[in-house]
Amino acid sequence: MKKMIRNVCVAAMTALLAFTTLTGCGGQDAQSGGQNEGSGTQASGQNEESGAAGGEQTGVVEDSQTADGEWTGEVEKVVMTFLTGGVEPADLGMVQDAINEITTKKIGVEIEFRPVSIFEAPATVPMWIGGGEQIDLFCAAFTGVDPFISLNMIEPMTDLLAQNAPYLEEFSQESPLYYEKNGDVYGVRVTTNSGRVTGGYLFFKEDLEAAGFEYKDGDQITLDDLDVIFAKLKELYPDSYPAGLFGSTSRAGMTMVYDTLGATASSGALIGLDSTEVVNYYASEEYKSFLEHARGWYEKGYVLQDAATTDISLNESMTSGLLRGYFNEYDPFLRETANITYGKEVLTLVLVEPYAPSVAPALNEYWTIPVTAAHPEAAVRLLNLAFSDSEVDNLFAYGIEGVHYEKTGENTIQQTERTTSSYAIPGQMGITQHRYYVSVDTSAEDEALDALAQSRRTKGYGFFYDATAMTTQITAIDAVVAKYQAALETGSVDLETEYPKFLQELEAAGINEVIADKQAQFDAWLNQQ
Amino acid sequence: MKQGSAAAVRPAKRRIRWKKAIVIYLMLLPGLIYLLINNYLPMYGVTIAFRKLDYKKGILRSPFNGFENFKFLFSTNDIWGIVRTTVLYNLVFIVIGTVFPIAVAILFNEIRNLKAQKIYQTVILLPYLMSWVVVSYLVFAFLSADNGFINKTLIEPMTGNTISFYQEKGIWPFLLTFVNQWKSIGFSMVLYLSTILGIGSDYYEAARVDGATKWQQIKNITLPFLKPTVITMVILSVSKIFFSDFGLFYQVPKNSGTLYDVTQTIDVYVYNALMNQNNISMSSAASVLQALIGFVLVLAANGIIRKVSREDAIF
Repeated sequence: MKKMIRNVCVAAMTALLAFTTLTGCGGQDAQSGGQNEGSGTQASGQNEESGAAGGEQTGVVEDSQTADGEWTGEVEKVVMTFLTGGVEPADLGMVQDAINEITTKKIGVEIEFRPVSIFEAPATVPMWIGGGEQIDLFCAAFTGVDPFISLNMIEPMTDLLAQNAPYLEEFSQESPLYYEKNGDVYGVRVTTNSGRVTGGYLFFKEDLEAAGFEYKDGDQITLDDLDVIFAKLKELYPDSYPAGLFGSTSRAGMTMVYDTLGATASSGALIGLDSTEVVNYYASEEYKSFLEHARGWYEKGYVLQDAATTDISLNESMTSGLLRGYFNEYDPFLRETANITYGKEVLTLVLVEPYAPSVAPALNEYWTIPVTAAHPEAAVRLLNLAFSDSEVDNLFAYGIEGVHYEKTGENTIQQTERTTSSYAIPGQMGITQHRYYVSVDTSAEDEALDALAQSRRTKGYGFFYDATAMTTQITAIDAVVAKYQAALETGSVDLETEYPKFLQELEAAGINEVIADKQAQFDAWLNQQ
Repeated sequence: MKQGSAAAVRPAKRRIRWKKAIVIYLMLLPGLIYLLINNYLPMYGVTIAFRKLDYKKGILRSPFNGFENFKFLFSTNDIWGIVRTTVLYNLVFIVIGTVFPIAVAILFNEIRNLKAQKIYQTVILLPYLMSWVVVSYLVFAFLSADNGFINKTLIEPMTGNTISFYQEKGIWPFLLTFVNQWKSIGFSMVLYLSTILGIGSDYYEAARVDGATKWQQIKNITLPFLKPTVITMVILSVSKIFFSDFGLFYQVPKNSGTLYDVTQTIDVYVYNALMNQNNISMSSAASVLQALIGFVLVLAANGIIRKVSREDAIF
């Protein structure tokens, strides 16, 4: 009797547990299995039968569109990430509807925004993808595309683009647009411009005038000139800090011409326009000179004493007069934006003239197609439209006309109050040439700067370093950089004791090994050119 | 064991017990299922640490790559310093985190005024309910070089200079220990207090009749009764000796690089190192290693306690 009851009990429990366990597993397996099948067929469609599928696909595209561009085929839903500054814009749904009105008619695509904070996206979106959620377009910002390729998280887009994106294909012939690796396209740049990089320092015009300087916007200066300007400004505004060095953002790059060849400075860089030698960026004369200036500024009280750890907001500190300027790119768009934000005229003095490196850090953001995409063709059609259609482009960038902005000229707009509160986003998609200008049309200026940058290309222009083999070392180097960079670049610590330690630890973490690897890849590429 | 042998002598009674036991086992079932699903089922994820993760193939089909993911942990010599920091902090926290809460709990037990007891308890427990981010700003309000309370009211008027506390390594081991105690003492005190309240008052009455002083009562009654609780708490803490409170070591020093030598624990190192890499396999490798060492340490700690006094060991 006793045994029987026990046996029944055990059996019942085992059955129950087995049942729950299995259902748990089953659910997951079904999900991942489905995901695998889906991506499997996609992959085979692309790789093996691309020819046949290609013919069919183009056929579909043409069949589904009537002569005047109306879409007659099925409408497919594209889920795309939408990067926010941390708060979901209140009018996001409204803009989504406005875009859908156009895209369902023109290309048979209905979009759904998945808002995610720009800071959390690199960690959150992979979790969505890992969980098998449908994400058709994923904006890879900050991290670049490589980590996602090595995790097999995103699909190659080469054939999809060839079949569905005639405008992008054409555009990519003229101007860098795709992220390519191993002969496949993995990403489409979020926005395009010529990829120029500059460095400068932004001041309020009235401050410089009050201090007796006669600088004009775009004047060339050196770090030594900044010493003089800061000294005058500190004298004039003793409670303010003229040197805008704070937080962990690196500003040293604004003071020198360098090229990290599509990776970060942790793997070495070319210094100057003519160099073909990958060197330790942090050990360079130029970097050291910046650190010396920064330390000098800190000691003279031009820099916030809490600079290395503070998390003040730039806009607030500038508006309140705590800071009197900051390192900024010399860029007409940024200047005009600052004019509006601060309500005072600003000017940018140039430390580094425009040049074109391998890839500008700001352009290192790409739209990618995750393996969990349900409608990759539709996603590519959307990209193609956003780049070719000025109306869609401006909807993404500025929201709805009459609600978020008013047109003030053919190419210029005035943003309304509602924009700042309900639809303030950085341009996340499309092509700058199509986009309206906020308040002032700076296209002529932009073109001149682009041309200048293109005449000043680094030797690494067009080369991407593949850091996959060096992941372990780069992780260690990043840790060392995180330890020293903020303190050194804000001048918060003694250079004589800390800087040698920094360089020593970088070498211990294997930076020379990584530099050698980068040099080898770069040399191989140079020989092919 | 004892019950088992007793039941063997009287089999008739045992049958009845089993009938009762079924109900009790049934009551256990939901909890057991929950435990299994919540704590054991996800453990298959441990294998991520030994795989080259491939999102297309999923976790269980990704290829194994041995100990490749563990390499980054040992790629710098720093790791030993980081391990030392983590372990030393935890040892200090275990000692201080046992002595002080017990002392406070004993004192607390002597408060006779109910109203005062309520107020003190709330006040002392309040920091425990705060998030580390809030705590980090409280600390910043004291230590900031530009506007901090200490710099502005003490150091600047006296010396004319300010101290950048966030660049000064020396004070942080003490500061972090203090902040940790300030935040956690309320909660651990409540745990010990509940044990103290459970001690029968007749022991104390008997002791008083025999003329025992207050100190003798504490030494000979309260502390021996607290021993099992202390042992359980210590063993639990020992299992976490390779883990650290991420908020304490990351938020409170505001992730100041200069302080890494004294604030970088394993968790902070892994977070900083992998922030940009987004490599789940490497992060898993780090936590698997922490968990394994923790497991071994628990067995060791329990083993030692079993050797010393058998009845106090947990298992």
